[in-house]
Amino acid sequence: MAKTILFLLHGMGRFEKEWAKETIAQLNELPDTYDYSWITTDPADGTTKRTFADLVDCIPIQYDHVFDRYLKQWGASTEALSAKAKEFGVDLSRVLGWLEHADEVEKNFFWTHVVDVLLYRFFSIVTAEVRVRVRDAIAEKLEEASRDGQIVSASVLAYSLGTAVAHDALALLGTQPIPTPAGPNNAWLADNFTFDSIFMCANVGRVLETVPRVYQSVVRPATSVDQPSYFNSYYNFRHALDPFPAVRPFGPLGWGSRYIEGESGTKVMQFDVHSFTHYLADPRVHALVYRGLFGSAAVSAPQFKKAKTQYDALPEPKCIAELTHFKSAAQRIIALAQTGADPNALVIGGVQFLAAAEEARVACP
Amino acid sequence: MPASVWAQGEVAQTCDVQFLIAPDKVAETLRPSHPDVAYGRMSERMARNEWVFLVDSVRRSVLADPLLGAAERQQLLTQLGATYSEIVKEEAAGGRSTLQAVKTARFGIARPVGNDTNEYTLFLRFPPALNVSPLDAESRRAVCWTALAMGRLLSAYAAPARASATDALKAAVTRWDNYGSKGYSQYPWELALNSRGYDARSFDPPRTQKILLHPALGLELVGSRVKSLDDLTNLQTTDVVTLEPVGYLVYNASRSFYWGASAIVTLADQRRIGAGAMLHLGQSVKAGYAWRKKDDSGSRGQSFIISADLYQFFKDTPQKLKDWKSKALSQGITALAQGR
Repeated sequence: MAKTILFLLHGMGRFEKEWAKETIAQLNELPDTYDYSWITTDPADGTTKRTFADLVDCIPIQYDHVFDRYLKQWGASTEALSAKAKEFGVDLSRVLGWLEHADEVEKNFFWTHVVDVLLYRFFSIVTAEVRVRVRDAIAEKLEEASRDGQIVSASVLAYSLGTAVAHDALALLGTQPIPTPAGPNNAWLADNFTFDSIFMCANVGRVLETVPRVYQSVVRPATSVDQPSYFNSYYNFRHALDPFPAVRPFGPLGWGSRYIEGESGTKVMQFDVHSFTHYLADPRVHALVYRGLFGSAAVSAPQFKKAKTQYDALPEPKCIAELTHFKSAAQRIIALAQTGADPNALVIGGVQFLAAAEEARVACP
Repeated sequence: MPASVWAQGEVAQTCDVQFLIAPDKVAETLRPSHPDVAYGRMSERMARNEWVFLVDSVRRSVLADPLLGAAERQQLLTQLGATYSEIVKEEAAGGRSTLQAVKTARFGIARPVGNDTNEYTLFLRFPPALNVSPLDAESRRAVCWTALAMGRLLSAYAAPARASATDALKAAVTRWDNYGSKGYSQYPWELALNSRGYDARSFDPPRTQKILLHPALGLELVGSRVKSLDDLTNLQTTDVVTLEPVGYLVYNASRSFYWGASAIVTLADQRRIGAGAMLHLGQSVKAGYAWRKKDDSGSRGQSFIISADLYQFFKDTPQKLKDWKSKALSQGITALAQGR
């Protein structure tokens, strides 16, 4: 049996090569936790045990090294230059001032996470490099899997900044012929390849959009009106207290029955409700991911209902005061971010939110 | 377990490439129609590039299949007709290396989504779509297996184009690697400047780079006139901070090398600020000349500014030249001796 391919795209921050280990382990364990018997037992005979990993080939895609290279380069140059300049009694701080306090703890979230958003959105050289690298990683895997006339079943699960990156890279892969010595090559265009599903968690595509635009591109379901599509189905998920997807919420019109907007999560199982694991833990997200990957039988309607009840009954953090304070802080940040509704609002709101979540976590260990 | 789950199991085993029943698990009479078996039968003609013939033979078998309903047959024939015309056009245009005409995703089958829906849909992206789930099992098998066999045939047809496109992407990534590791570093304001007007949809890194207020460390060479090779090794060096107010670089096609020039201002310990120009030839070779105002002793203090790599090269060169000279001499003497 051919496995379906699931490309995983991370969000902001620095990642190890094995960054998706935790996500994959979570996707492996959830069918047991919630008794999704179609995934854990082969329905062909009703007895053979199987796992998510038997059905899916997860391919993590990493692009943070592009940001990291620039940040390291700037950090190292600044350090060496400042030291030398001081020897000469020369003050270079005016030129290099913006990086003077780059590594200070209080700006940690900015420099380790949110700066990626700025680099990706405002520096088109960085944007282009990330897009090419992601396109290459996806095409390489698909090409390998398609050999000997295989029909490939592939989907994409993207999170946070990864939603914008996935959108942009795939929108280009699906529409832009690739220059080759034999001429413009259409092999990966939407007419020649179709992905099954795209799952967007904490979708920041709208607030970070450039060209191609998120409502006009081919990253849309096949049921959308009068536009070519690269996907059979499009799933969008957001948590009610996560400011990142709230700055300019994703809500296309006329995309038909294969655009599926998941119910907004409201449960706070950990203060950082923006985290990928927190998103996936909710059956409102993971059950639809399984359905998108395997078909709707993977999680039946009664199983879905039962899973939501089971999840909603789980206890939230016990510190009532911190929890209440965090929730109101998150709502205030969302309201402010929605007023700005641009990438700056995303950056500011994002940093404030991550700091508030960290503050609550420290106060309520 | 709900009946729909089992029902979908049967549909999935017939129509879903991921859950397709293995050929050895189907009745012997059905086996020749199984997509994998049918694909195997086509392989010889595929190797001979008889694609038009193959699509036509699938079309003929659809026409002759008694299990297909009239509506499904017509839809399959319409899509097969379109594929036939596309392949004829593609072949006439010189083959399948870039896929200018053929739409190889045409026979894709979309899985059901939502709550307990059971709609495996064919031609979703090439309407009219065909929901295969309500069909009777035999008709569904005939439709899905034809679509899956065509899917495999078109996947094979697209293989050279896919490989070529993927190679081109890989080559673009190499150019980005070069640009990152062998290019001239950019500060944030330079990256912002160079990003202006650069299209984020580009495959390739920029071909040119502007330099703006670029600080760096360099070596200033100070010494007496160079009269012999030994004088090169005796040059005094001192660290300087250089600031390049403006400059311009051009990259080669692979982005592994660049050349260009910039203005420089030098800052050194207990010396006046100097000004001059610098030549860039890749990461290793940066050489410039700076002038200073006359100091109290009336000396102008012109100096060479070079990169550390270039300094190392100059430092090592005299010894290397001596080595080459003595080697050449000894070889000459040997040759002369042998000539005698």
